[in-house]
Amino acid sequence: MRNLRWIFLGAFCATLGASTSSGLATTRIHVSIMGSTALVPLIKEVLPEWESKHPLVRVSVTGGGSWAGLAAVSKGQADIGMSDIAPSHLVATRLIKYPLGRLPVLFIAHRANVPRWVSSHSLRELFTGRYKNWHQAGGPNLRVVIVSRPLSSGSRYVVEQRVLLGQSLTPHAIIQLSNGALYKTVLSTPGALGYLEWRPGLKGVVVMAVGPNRFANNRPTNWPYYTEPTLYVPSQASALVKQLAFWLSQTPKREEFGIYPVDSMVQGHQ
Amino acid sequence: MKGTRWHRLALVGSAIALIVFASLVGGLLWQGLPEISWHFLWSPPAETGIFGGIGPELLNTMTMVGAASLITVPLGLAGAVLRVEYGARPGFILLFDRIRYTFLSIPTIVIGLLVYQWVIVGLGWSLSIGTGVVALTAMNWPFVVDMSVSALEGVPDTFREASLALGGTRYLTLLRVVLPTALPALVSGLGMAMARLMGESAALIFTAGINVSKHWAFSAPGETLAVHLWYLRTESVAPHADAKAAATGVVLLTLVVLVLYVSQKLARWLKAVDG
Amino acid sequence: MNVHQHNLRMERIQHRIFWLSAALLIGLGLAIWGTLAVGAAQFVLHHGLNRTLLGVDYNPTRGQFGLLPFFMGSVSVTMLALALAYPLSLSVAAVTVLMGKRAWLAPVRQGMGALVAIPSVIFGWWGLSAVVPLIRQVSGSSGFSLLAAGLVLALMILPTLSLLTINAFARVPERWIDGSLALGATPDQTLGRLVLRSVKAPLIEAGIVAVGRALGETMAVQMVIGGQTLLPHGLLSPAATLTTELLSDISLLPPGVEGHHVLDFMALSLLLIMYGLVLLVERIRGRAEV
Repeated sequence: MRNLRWIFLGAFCATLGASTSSGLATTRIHVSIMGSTALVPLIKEVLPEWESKHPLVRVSVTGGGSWAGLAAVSKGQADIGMSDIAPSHLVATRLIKYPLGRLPVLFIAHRANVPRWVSSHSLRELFTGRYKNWHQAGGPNLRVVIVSRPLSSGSRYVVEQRVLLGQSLTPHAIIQLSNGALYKTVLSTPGALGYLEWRPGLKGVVVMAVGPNRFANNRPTNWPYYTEPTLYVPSQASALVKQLAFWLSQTPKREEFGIYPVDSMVQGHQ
Repeated sequence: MKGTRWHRLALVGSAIALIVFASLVGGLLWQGLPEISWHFLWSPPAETGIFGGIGPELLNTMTMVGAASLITVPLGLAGAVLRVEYGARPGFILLFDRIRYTFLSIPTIVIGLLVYQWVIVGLGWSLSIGTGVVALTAMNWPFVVDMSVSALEGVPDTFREASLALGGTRYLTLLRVVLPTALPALVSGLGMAMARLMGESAALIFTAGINVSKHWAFSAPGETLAVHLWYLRTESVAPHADAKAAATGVVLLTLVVLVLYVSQKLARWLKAVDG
Repeated sequence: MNVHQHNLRMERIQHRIFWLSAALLIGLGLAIWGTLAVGAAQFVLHHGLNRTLLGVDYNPTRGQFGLLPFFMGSVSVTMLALALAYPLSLSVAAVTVLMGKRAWLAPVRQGMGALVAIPSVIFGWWGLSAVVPLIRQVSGSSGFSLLAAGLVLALMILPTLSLLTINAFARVPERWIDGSLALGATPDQTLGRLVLRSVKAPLIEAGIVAVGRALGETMAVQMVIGGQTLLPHGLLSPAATLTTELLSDISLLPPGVEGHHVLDFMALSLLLIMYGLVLLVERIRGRAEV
């Protein structure tokens, strides 16, 4: 009986081992992509297609935000950085850009009881936290709940630059780590106001019109608030990485994820 | 009956605990079960459409947990054997115990941070199954030591004395007497350890990544079920993401319960064989 | 070479292997302490302790590293969870050990063991789909709050805590309880004056273990707490804890970036608290044994 027990234990270990050993066989090429969470769903969606053409390459994706993407790619911790914001001069040394196009940043609010239009001044006051109640922006008597992304987010940077004209977003904001979480929070919280990168099929929330601008699903190009999601690759990177970045930046699926190409934009080297 | 007020309160308290847990598990099953199908279990996840599944995540979870257990069981057991069977200077034992208790209570996000600093930045590994295994190993090691120590301490001293009196060396005593006696406790402890690893997410987001590769490899990104659940419930804007999150939760929970059940059954069977 | 010689040689080899693996664990443990301590030291040298430990403004991109809100967040969430879960776990223990039959003990323990293993993301999922909406409806606030995090954590530590309190209660010999009841003490008096008093040390230890678990939890808390980096001013205000802030800032401050060492400092603080808890348990155990 004693032998039987050891055989059993051996079999137990063997099943554990069998599943692990198969992966250790050959050396393969690995590419890592990191950065803006707005791009993660798109990249995750189209990667399998590219990988099936390149059987030896494994590509890993992590979010973390635009700042993280830029920092990681410039420090060599990632092969491709996804970012919505232009790198500062310190970081920008010898990075090649692969722009995808423009991605509208929308201001969304909970459906109930909020105005569908605000002036750009009111929007600024709301996001900086000086308006604490919707009646100050022409709405009903309802407390404003600002929902925001963390500091590492590129869309937050764009909002602070373009809407708030360099001021900081109110610290009294609920912080969500991703566009998806932010959307779900605004969707279910009365009085909530947040911003997110557009994705067609956005439902259940009020998309605010700001000043003279109204966002229309079929004409996103007229909307003045947008980020420019771009893939960054170090210039000394391998041809394969550059090819992947280029392929990703040109994928026709972009429009399903709200990114529209800009005609004048030619892929340029910096 | 007089003087049972606290007991009645205790009944109410237990009922509350029971109801809350029932609502948690029930809610999960209610939302998740309708989504589960063979297709869901096998196919890769998708960002668009409603046909995404969790096949690769299932594979990743099992591989990473398996590999981490395979590494930590011998290491942890050996450390525990030294602690319990061989003895050492009291100073060494105190150091060993303090380190393992602190190690055991390190928040897993700190493990993630350290593995990120050491392995990804330091060694230049990529976000991959391999790196994830390193994180899980670091997490699991003190846990295995802990459960091995209590398993070994559960072996009565008289067994050891009998073996030593019959002329067995310490090593033979360990191999032929102590380990076989402790085996059932070790197996059920291992089950607990694996269940704990399966649910881990904080340490893996920045070490194993949040996507899966089309080609499976140790150097490929390794999103696990727990990380996928987090991704679906917070990051993803895919349609049906909430229902898919619940379904992933159901699968994860089933896996955890299965591992616990099998390990305990196995432990009981081993005990019966021994007796 | 005879069998005895062979056995002795094996003995030496084995001993060395065991020693090596134990040393490896200690080495890794010390490496963790070392890495974090070096990082944290750099942080302290750069920013000083006053403005960080007691500072309330946190904005790493502008060089503000006030960490008090996160310490407050961690402590209040943990205390809240403990205050909610402890009475419940005591009731569970009282019901299973004192009111139920001893035969129930094994199945209840097994069930609790299974509940302990529920992954924390599932608690987070439950928090998002049940607790946050409930708090929002009742209070009219956003729902993401200290209270939500405390509730989710309370539920998360409840199985662990119950298991430990059940074990503690089960240590009281049945004869004592029967004796107490036979002498005319009411069940309540037996519970309060006999059971609770005789297992005081294990009960305190159970609480400390639960505190450790709650303090270290990241995902379940991150999903419901709201991530606000301000000093929380009430149960309903959003907040952040040391662990959730680590999670959201690893990406903002990857290694090599100015300010990265604040993460080391936060991690080291957590580790020091955990070490303090370990020492506390040691003392309680030592006293209980005397």
